[in-house]
Amino acid sequence: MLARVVDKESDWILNHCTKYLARDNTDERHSFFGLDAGLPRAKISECWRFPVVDADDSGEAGASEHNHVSFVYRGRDAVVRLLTPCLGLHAPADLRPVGDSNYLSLTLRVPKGRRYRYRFIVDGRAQLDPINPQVMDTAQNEPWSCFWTSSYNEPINLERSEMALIGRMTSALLPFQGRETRNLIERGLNDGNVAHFFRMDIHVGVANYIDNILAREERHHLHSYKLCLPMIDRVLRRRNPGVEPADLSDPIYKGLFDDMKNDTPELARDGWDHNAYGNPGYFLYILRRHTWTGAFSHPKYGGNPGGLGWAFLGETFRTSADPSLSAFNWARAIEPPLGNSGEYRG
Amino acid sequence: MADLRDEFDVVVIGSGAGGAPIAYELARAKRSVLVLEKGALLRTQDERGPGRLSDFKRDEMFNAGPERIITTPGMVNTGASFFTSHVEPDLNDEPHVFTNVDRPQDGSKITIEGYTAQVVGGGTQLYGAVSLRFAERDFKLKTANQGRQLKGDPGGDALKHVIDWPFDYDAIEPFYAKAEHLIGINGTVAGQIKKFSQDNYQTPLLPNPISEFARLGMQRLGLQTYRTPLAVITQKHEPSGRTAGDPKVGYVNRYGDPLGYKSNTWVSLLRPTIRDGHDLELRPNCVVTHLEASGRKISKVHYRDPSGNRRTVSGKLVIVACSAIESVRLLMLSAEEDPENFASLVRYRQDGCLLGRFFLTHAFGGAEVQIKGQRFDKSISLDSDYATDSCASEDFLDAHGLWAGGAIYNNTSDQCLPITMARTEGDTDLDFFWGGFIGAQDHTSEAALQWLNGAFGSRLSAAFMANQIPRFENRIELHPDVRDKWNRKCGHVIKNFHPHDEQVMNLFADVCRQIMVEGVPKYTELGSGSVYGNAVRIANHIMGGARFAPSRELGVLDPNCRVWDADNLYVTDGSFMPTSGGANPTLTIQANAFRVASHLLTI
Ligand SMILES: Cc1cc2nc3c(=O)[nH]c(=O)nc-3n(C[C@H](O)[C@H](O)[C@H](O)COP(=O)(O)OP(=O)(O)OC[C@H]3O[C@@H](n4cnc5c(N)ncnc54)[C@H](O)[C@@H]3O)c2cc1C
Repeated sequence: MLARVVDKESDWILNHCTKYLARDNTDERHSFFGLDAGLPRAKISECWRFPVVDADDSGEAGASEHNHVSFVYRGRDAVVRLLTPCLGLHAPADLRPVGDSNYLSLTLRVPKGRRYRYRFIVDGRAQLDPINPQVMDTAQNEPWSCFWTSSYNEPINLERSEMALIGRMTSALLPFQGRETRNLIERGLNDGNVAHFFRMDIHVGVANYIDNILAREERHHLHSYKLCLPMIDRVLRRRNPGVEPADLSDPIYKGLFDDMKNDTPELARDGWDHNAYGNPGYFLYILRRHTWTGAFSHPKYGGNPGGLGWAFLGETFRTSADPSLSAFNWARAIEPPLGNSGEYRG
Repeated sequence: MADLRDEFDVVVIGSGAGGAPIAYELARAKRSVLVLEKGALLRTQDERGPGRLSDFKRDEMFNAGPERIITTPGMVNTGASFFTSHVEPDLNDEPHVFTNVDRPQDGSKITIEGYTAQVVGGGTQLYGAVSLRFAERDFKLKTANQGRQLKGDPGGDALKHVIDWPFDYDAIEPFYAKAEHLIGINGTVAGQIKKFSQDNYQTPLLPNPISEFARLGMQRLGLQTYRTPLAVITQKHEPSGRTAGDPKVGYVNRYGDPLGYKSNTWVSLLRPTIRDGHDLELRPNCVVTHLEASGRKISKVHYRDPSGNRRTVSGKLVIVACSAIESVRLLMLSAEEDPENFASLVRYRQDGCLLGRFFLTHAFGGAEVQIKGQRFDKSISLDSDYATDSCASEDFLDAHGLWAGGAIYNNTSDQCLPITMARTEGDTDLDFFWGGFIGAQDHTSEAALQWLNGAFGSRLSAAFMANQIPRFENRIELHPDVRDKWNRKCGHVIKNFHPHDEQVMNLFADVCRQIMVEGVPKYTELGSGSVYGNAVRIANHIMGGARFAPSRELGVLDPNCRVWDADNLYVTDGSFMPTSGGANPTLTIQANAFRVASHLLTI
């Protein structure tokens, strides 16, 4: 089997439950933009954290290629079992009491880069995980809860065409590659040191990161992307008939960004529908923030593959005292094999 | 949990700077001690075992957090974004409300300012670890100002509520020395204006080369410098059994340290006490909801266990150390639970009640330059390299008509990591994360790279930390409408600065600016300023609200931090301070807690 059950300390599970799940108040405080209105998860904090996908911290061989995924059920009187293909659909596993608490939990060791569906069988009846908002439909149109492990890189909510457009926009926002950047460097960025980053293909990573957080941490922005991407596509096609948006040059995107920032009449003329999304500058801001965090956060979040965003900074920016030295020695801090810290195991 | 112990000699509420030293001393003196801590116990790598991983990570997203939206209705910032780390509270579950006391017409907002961290170790897990002593004069600001004329005090009332601490520097000095020894701090004594009976500092690491500009600037202005004391070990630390490694990786300020080099109160005080077999029990993920009194004694501590179930425990001594706002709130909530007896112990809503009053933060600000043509690896640094006390001297204060002084130090590690750099761009307060980035909509495409090119590894700042004038009006209350996830009333922070604070801050900001001008050969941008005019800004330093005083009329606590009318109730976090000191507060909170512990051992 691809996954196996592992023991996890009770206090570790409680550390990941109390802040989010323990409470008396039943207001829907956590339903941003009304996203979870009427659902139990609207009443708890950061439901996207469940099941808890974290490092395989066992220190065993191959740990860096695996995650620990901890499923949590609130309530201790029911018999709850986990049904998931990664354990084998014929072999549901019991959730276990967490110390003396009101929670049941089960932790699986699962390879990185995977996505699986699961259901809880509560007193004999299959149901979705009431906490986790991630749901996927099977080919038979049955809804199952689902989770994915670190560095998962298949589209989750976005269509491939949407991913391509995001990829193109984010690489225009942070042009790590391409002619303009090269020119810029030759004109003196990096104080005349020629960098070695043309191998970068960072936009793939950033689009993947964005798809990931739109499914999990920042689900409340998925709707904005779904509304704005088609309008951006429309504007670009109207402006550049016959050319695929992904093939347009950086200056054309720069013009688009300026129009979004200033909310120009040309943007509306070319297809932006303000009734659908009133503030194009706000969408640009979300996209910029997501681009930045995707390019420079740990690769486990789905962007910055292999630390390429960090390598871009490290290779481009050198110390003035000694240009052979990087001005961003990120590898010193980060765990092997990604970085080369002799102490830290991330 | 039926078999949980429910009686202890001492119950300490909160495991941070104010609570842990008491637990350390009393457990080692054979008392049974329980520490109740709201937050999780996140362990270091070595605690988890060979080859295993820490619960803290060198991961910018841990500290930056995803975007969430404020949903508390009726606030100025309802619907706005907020960004907090994994050990800070969810603001929708545990809001703090802020109102500017002088501008109530501006409305109220939810704020993260004034929260430290909710985790075993409290704020010392996330802090920058700058561990300065207060200046000798800071303890006697009433006396020191007798007969002096202040500048920028139009109402002539700046000194109205200033009181001296009930003891002087000499009385707390041995406890500073003790804290420095037990916590594990590196720095230098030479260059400080304070008296030291012992030098317990570990040797500082080599400074980041960018800090040389700050040192030079200070020197050229005639300011005496020393290596900023930082609570990060650089050598083997016997008292806590820790060995040193490579802490210079840019993940210190606002991060929990996975390797335990940063001397938070868990790794330096609590963990070794438990390891040494003393009777110290820690219950993490347990939030205290209220205290119950019978007569003058606290008879029960009510808390929720990790599942949210109600529990009680009792202690012969009860120490409240939840950080200033939360401690005041806990006492007020307890008073509302028992409006007869408990309320009378803290004089809640009675004539002369001072609970919540004289809430303090710091007067602070600084200057920042973008150095032209030079770049450094700022990620290889701790929080600060050089500090100066020269702006706390009598001569300096007399020359400028200021009531009290402060410390200045350079920030080395600020903006050293790319996500932090973007989200703190042009920041005005912690609620404003990403705000400057939102505004900088021109930073797209080449302009984004140009911005990086100008700023990355070439920004340097000097910051000051000075006393804030205590005002009676600056206070903590319970908010009548806004409730936390336990349906308890939330803390309401009502404050603003005094006009004389502006005088202080302008002057200090100018000194910081001059340090940059004198020290940095060429720069492309130079800015300076302070938090005056931005009342919500707190610098993570929260003090006052339950100040100690020589008499019951002047303070909530007696000089040993005992609530005047209660026999066994003590408050030892930053809320005891009657003035905020001209330096970051944590070492003084720790030193005072060691002082209180030594008193508790005599009763
Ligand atoms: C990012 C950051 C940087 C900082 N940098 C510095 C610096 O460089 N130098 C400096 O001197 N200071 C710094 N500080 C401030 C420093 O953290 C505080 O001064 C210090 O921690 C305050 O000590 P305390 O005992 O008052 O509170 P804390 O240390 O915060 O401890 C309070 C504890 O009580 C717990 N608690 C709260 N309510 C309850 C309850 N109801 N039941 C049970 N437990 C409860 C909390 O979870 C917390 O663990 C910084 C703070 C932050 C956040």
